[in-house]
Amino acid sequence: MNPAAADHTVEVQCQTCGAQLVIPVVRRTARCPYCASSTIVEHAAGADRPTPDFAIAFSLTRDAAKACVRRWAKTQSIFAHGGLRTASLDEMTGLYVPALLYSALARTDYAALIGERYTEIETYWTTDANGRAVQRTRVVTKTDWFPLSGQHATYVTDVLATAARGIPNDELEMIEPFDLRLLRRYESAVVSGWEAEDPTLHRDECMALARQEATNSIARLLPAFMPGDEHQNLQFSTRFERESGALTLLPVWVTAMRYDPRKPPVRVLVNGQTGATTGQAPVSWKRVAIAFSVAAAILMLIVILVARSQ
Amino acid sequence: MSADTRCERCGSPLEVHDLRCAVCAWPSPAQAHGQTGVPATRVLRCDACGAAVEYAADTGAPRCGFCGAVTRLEELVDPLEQAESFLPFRVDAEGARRALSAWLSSLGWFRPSDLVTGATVQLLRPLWWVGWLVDATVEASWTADSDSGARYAAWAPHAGTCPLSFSRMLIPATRGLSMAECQQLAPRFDMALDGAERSGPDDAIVEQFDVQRSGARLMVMDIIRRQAADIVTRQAIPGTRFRNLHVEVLLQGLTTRRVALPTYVMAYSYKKRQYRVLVHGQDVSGVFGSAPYSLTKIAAVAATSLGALGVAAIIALNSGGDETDRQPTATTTSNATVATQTPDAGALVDAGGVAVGTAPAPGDAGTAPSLQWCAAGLRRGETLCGGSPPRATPRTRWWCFDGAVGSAGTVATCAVNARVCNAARASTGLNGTSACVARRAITLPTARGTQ
Repeated sequence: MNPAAADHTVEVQCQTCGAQLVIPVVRRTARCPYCASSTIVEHAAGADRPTPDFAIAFSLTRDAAKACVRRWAKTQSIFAHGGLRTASLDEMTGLYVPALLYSALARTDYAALIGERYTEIETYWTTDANGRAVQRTRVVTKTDWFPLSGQHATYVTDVLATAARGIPNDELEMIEPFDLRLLRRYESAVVSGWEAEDPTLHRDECMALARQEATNSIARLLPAFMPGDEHQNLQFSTRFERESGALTLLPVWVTAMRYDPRKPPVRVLVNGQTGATTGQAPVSWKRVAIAFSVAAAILMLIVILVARSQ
Repeated sequence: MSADTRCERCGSPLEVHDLRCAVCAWPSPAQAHGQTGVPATRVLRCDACGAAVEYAADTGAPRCGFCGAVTRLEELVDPLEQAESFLPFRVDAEGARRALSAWLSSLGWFRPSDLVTGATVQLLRPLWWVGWLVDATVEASWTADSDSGARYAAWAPHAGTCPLSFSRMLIPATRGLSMAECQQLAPRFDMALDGAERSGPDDAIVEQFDVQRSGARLMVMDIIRRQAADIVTRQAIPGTRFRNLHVEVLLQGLTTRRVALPTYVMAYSYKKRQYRVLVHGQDVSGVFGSAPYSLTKIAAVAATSLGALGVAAIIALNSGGDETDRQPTATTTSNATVATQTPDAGALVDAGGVAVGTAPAPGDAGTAPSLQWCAAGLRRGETLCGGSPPRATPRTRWWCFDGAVGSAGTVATCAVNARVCNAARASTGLNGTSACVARRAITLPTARGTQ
């Protein structure tokens, strides 16, 4: 999967009215500005432009996606910019985002110190109510530490790593998971009328992102695999064998919320299947200043009252 | 994709229409897409009006914006599957009836005497019930705490990996039979005989799988995982006790075959009540089901047992007496005191009334295992008498004293009560250096044994 330069264009002909359309080379679909026909661009398949293997179709309509964004704007903190709640959502685009659906056999070698707790009765000296030194006993919990090392083998599946340079992997993770039971083999009918992109990240970059995500999942899994009452110094190294990466188109609603005409818009992503929403809500410094002033005033009032009472 | 296509990662077969391997998620080979040469464009046309159509999220399919026609896409395939192999019936209907009669007559004395003659077969239905025949290899990695290697704590951690192999493991998929019934029937099937042809009674019915393919795969994999964990528990973990078991299972080469297994489902009535019985379709000795009990016989046995118990209790009460009424005779030796008389015909009992030893014959001290009185609750090096009495119950309380208060020595004598003890103490001249205290009686391995 070689990245196609986003600034390159290609000229295609509308099959309905014959108009010549100039579209970015990474686009898999186009809409004719003259007759509004949806056109599917079928590029030559090859190593530099792979055909998607799978796609997940949109199941969230535009109105439902708008409702998700409105709900997201309402649930932001009180310091979020107030314009978020009133911003227009007219520019909302349904976009098939390319991603790598990664899976592998993960073999992990781990080592850790495992703690097994036990109790002992301990004798100690203390002073009683009469000031005399007395001997007492108490139950104390101690930990017996054992070194443990071993192997762990599992399949890592359902790892999604972005293949679009415009949507970072951590942003995509915020709207995951996608229901992969509804995965279907890619066919142009699914993307007809929607914007669909080719990968703009190199396959090696996508695989590296996916491996990192898979390593993180192993790191989350291993602590629960450890025996004992507690553990520490857990170290591991994972080898990924027989890796696979399938190019998959994910349904994402994208909108740029223009909350303030003087400032750049905020991008909000909505999972086109589940409605999970993410975005970087802008902070209203005016609200922060007001909150800070009110807090300072209350604090000052308390100080004055305390000073007067003394 | 052909039916024998296998996953390149785990070796499990891929079914037609599988997008990914159900075990390890390896993507199945895709069809060739795209064209060569310059980019081409294509417009998806409405079959009804010819207008360009777009995919609509609300219909889940392309829909024409002009006439509203919806173009159906290929549906995701998740079928209800059918049995592909049938094990033949080897028992006919008459054989099943005879098997039922033989089983009823073999149930034992507590069943009604006329069960065989009084039972009437109400239903005899040959049935092929369904299940999955599974082959798989498993690499199980595990961790656990066990008592093996424990130091200060009761547990020590362990980890390991072990290869497991499942061959022709039968996993029931039937809803008509219970899991317990399937487990009883399964070992008696000759799995080598399975074939695509049905061989059995004409009226035999075939149960249907009622789980879709995806659900069935999850069920099979879950059962294999649990089986693997069970084998790890029994075979891999050292020690006698364990806890915190974690098992990670790596399935490889999972092959499942859907098989139909022959069984007769029968119902018979006895005195207006119906009972269900399963007769194995290949082995007449495999009969499982319910049968009535004879309440008269059970009541008679219970009454007899109660009567016998009552008689035994009366005898025990008459033979036993107040402890203070019994006067054991003790022979004092240099190192140990050996009782020559025991409270209950030579049997000693602990606090719960359980016999803990037998009094030896006089003169056996030093050779045969013998009794050491009054030492229970003491540890090595503690004095036998003279300290605070350990836990003692009235039933097992004995009185004793040793040669000198505070010294780690042997018991000078034992007595059933304080009065007898003090009298014995006075007679031995130890009145000023010892004290009578209550102890329990225990058995030591030899006359010279210590706690």
